[in-house]
Amino acid sequence: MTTDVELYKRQFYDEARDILEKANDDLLRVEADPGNEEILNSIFRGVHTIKGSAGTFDLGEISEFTHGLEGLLDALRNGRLLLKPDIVDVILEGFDHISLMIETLADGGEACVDRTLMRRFKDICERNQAVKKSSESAVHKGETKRPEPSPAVPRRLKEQFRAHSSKGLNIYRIKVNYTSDVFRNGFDPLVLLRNLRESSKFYYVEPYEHTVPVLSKFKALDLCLKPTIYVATDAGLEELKNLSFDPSLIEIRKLRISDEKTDGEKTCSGKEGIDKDLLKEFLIGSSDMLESMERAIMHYEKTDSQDALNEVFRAVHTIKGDAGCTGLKGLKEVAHSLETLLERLRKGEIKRSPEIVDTLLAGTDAFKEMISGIENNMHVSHHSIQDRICRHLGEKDEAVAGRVSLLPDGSEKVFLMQARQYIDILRDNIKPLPLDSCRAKIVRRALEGLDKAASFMKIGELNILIQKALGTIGGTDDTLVLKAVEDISIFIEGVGKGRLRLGEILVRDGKVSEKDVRDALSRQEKIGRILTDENNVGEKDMGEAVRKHEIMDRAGRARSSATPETRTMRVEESKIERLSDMTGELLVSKNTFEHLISQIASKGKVTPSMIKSLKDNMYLLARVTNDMHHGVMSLRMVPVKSIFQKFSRVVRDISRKQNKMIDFITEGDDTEVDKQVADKLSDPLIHLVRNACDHGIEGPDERRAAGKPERGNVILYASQEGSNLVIRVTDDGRGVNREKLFEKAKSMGFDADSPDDDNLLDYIFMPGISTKKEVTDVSGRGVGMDVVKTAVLSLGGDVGVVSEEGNGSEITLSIPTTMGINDALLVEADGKLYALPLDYVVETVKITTNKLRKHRNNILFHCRNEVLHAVRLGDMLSGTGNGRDKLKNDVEIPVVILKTGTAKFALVVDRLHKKMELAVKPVPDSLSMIDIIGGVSILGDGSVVLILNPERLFRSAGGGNQ
Amino acid sequence: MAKTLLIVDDAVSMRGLVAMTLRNSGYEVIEASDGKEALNRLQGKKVSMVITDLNMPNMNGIEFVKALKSLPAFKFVPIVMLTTESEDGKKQEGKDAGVKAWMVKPFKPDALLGVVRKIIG
Repeated sequence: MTTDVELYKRQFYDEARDILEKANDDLLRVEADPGNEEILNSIFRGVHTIKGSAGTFDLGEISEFTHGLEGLLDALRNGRLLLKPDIVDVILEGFDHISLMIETLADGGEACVDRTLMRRFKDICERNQAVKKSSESAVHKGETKRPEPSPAVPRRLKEQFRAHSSKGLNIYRIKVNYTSDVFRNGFDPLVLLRNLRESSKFYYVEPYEHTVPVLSKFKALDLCLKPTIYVATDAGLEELKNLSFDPSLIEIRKLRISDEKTDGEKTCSGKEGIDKDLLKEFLIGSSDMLESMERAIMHYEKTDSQDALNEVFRAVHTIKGDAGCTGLKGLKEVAHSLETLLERLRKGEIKRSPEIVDTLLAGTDAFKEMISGIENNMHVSHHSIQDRICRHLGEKDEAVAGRVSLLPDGSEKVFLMQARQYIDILRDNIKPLPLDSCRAKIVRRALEGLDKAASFMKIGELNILIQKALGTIGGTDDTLVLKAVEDISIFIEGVGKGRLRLGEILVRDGKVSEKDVRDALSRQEKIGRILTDENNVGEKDMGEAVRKHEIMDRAGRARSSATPETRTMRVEESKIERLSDMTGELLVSKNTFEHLISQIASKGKVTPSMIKSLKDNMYLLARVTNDMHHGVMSLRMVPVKSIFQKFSRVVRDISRKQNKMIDFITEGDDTEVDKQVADKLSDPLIHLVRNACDHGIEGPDERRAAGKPERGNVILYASQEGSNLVIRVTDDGRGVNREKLFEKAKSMGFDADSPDDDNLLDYIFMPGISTKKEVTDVSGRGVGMDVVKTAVLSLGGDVGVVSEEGNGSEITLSIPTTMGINDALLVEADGKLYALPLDYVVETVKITTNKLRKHRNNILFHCRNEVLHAVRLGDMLSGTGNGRDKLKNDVEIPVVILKTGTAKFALVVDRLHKKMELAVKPVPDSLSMIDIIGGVSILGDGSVVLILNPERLFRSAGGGNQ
Repeated sequence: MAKTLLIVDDAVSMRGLVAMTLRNSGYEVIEASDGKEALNRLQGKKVSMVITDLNMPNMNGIEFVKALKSLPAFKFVPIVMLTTESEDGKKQEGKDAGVKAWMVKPFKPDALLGVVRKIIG
């Protein structure tokens, strides 16, 4: 069941990603069209959906954060707030943070809420509300709902509330949302109001006359009573809710009066764990406190002033109190130890020393670290500072006790960690042999500790090994000890690696209880400590052992989180539906075959009509398999929109940052591309788009000076051209400065002829050039261009660049689409079959050999008003050159006319076979140097056929120098 | 025989969670991703209850409820809105269309089961 929930949670992550992507896009659209309520609404709904779903999946962080964002969005869609670029910035940041939280959660981490961002949401809302409120004094719509994160209390009530809340009463704001319907059904809101009044010590109704229409429009059965009531009561939220027959009809919100301590203290005493509001306050307050504490420590260091010490003490004490109240255990413990230390300093029991001051400062650092850890939802260990303080105090046990409770749950892990720690101690002390008495004692103690741990974990085998080892200590031959210890460490490592969750198994089997294990471990810990206390193990060694232990702990956690992840892909439902329809047809066809076969069997012979039905059915089957193949392939395809969408954000960010005006236009969004290709293209495209905006498009002034419109254009265009996916990134910016590029290329030692060299622009893809700042600045192109090229080449594609100085640049990526299936023409040459991709075939003709003309080494012929270069396929493949002589005179020979990107030529073959669909597999590595082979496939009879690559074929035929 | 419910929600995660909750409690569940699909799925079937989202592509919750209520076979099937929408206007619209109860997301699976049990037992 939990795994199922996990599954849906993953789905939720996917959905949320989609929603965010769309919201991002919508937001940018609405920025250009601020009044468009529809889009604002859709953004709001998206975030609202995420909030709702997150709540359902118990992802409190996300719902809390989205709630904050939603408040802002709500204000926007209600027109209470105008969408300005700075607000868009904040919202985008919000979206980013949600994405971040989702990705963290999806990776098994813990999401944390960005409090500063939330505060900014709130600030923007309130700032504008304040403005609004003052401007609209009399006219006030009663119905507008305000989901303020924390409702503002009318100022005139604040004093009274403060008085009441200091008496321990709870302050609530209650909105009564009874509808006329409810009223007509006989439910009287007055009953609720009366009950409410009776159960409150203080009762105040916000004026609401404005909801009552004038008498002429007044209907007796309409409910106009929709008051907002403020009460101070000792009743709880639930009790208030129960006052209404339907709690959903009233909206109750607890108010916190911003005067604090007493109120805060009270809430936390009743509550377990960490109170979020308190935490927030604590986090805000603590940073000031820490700063003054730091100052005081420094002052104390210089002057030994008792006052400064007192101030430090006060700060620590406050932190301790606040932390304890907020439920931050680690902080409280550290503060407590520090307090003890300070107390002794005050009494003069410990003398001021640089070390002590260092420790005090380290204490503040630890506080800061832990607090930022809390803000980011990370656990920051406080052991080291705790140990450090305790060293000054000489009170070790107390710290140790605090520490045990903090060990992670799951006794098996603890045991392993513990055991490894012992092993480390053993290894560090066992050499050199022979053992001296001091180290023998250490080894013995470690072994005894391990023995105890083993017996608590009921690992008999380990006990035996340890007893054996103990027996060898003090014997004549210390190598026996070494060997025994090695055996033990091997055994323990084996347990760890084999992921035998011993403790888990034992606990599950009911052989030990978790408490037992923990008790056992607490005792062991002490033994480990005693080692230090009695100076058997040096502080340094112990520290090292502890550090190793921590590293292992982390490593263990990393390993456990690396469970295999199932990769999923989202597919349009309609595609799947089509596939399942086809499966149905497949079944029909199978049944027909069955029927036909049984008919043949019963008749004992095959009639022509049967053959016809068999054939018909064959055609049906062929069609269905064909469709299915395409269907399955299309599952892998996604519209390029999915990658293009991200870029509008990139463009916007740059234009905001650099004060440029850039319009980002995408064309051919619906072009479909293989998911893997899309993933690989995303990064290079970002580079290209960024370059276009960053270096290509000029600032408005420069553009105006150049006689161009202020707004620059960056166009991202995708289309399917033949078997290639073509993506163009075009800008109308300043273009590449050929002169400078030429200089640079030459200085880099590249072989460039002149600034007008056609191939000059290709140098921008060279890694050496692209990374140099000078060139990127002047050329307008550069950073990451080699990344682009590498990525595109790895997809088997090509990059091209065209640029005109002053008028912009265009980068074209063309990537062969890997549909995996190709229409091909089968031809025969020298008795073997080859396939030619049909996309390249213009036509097939038969000509008589005497029409072929020989010119030097080339064969030429005239076809449809064109002189074409002809090559005999067989000769080319066998490498024997052009053998026109092999062609008999006056015989009709088949010729395939091919058109590649660069040229058109004719391929003379021995025979034309048929057109066929082939499932193309890539060329095996061993053949990859033969570039005229584009792929391989298997024919119906099981034979292998090579698919030729016409582009290369032509080149190797020497057509390039024609 | 187990009672059958129809779940309409375009968010697969939500729909899946609701469906799973109900299936685990012994109900049969038909799932649909929007109003249109739901109407198609319902053809010739009998359901004891419908749980639907409000904001969906193609045909939203309110339209769907109206369409459903116009079919004689489903005129009296109780419909529960399970949505993030909590605006009173929308609720009223839903009520007018014939929605029996309105649950606002986030929901707890147990609470949902409670509502279902209360309505169809």
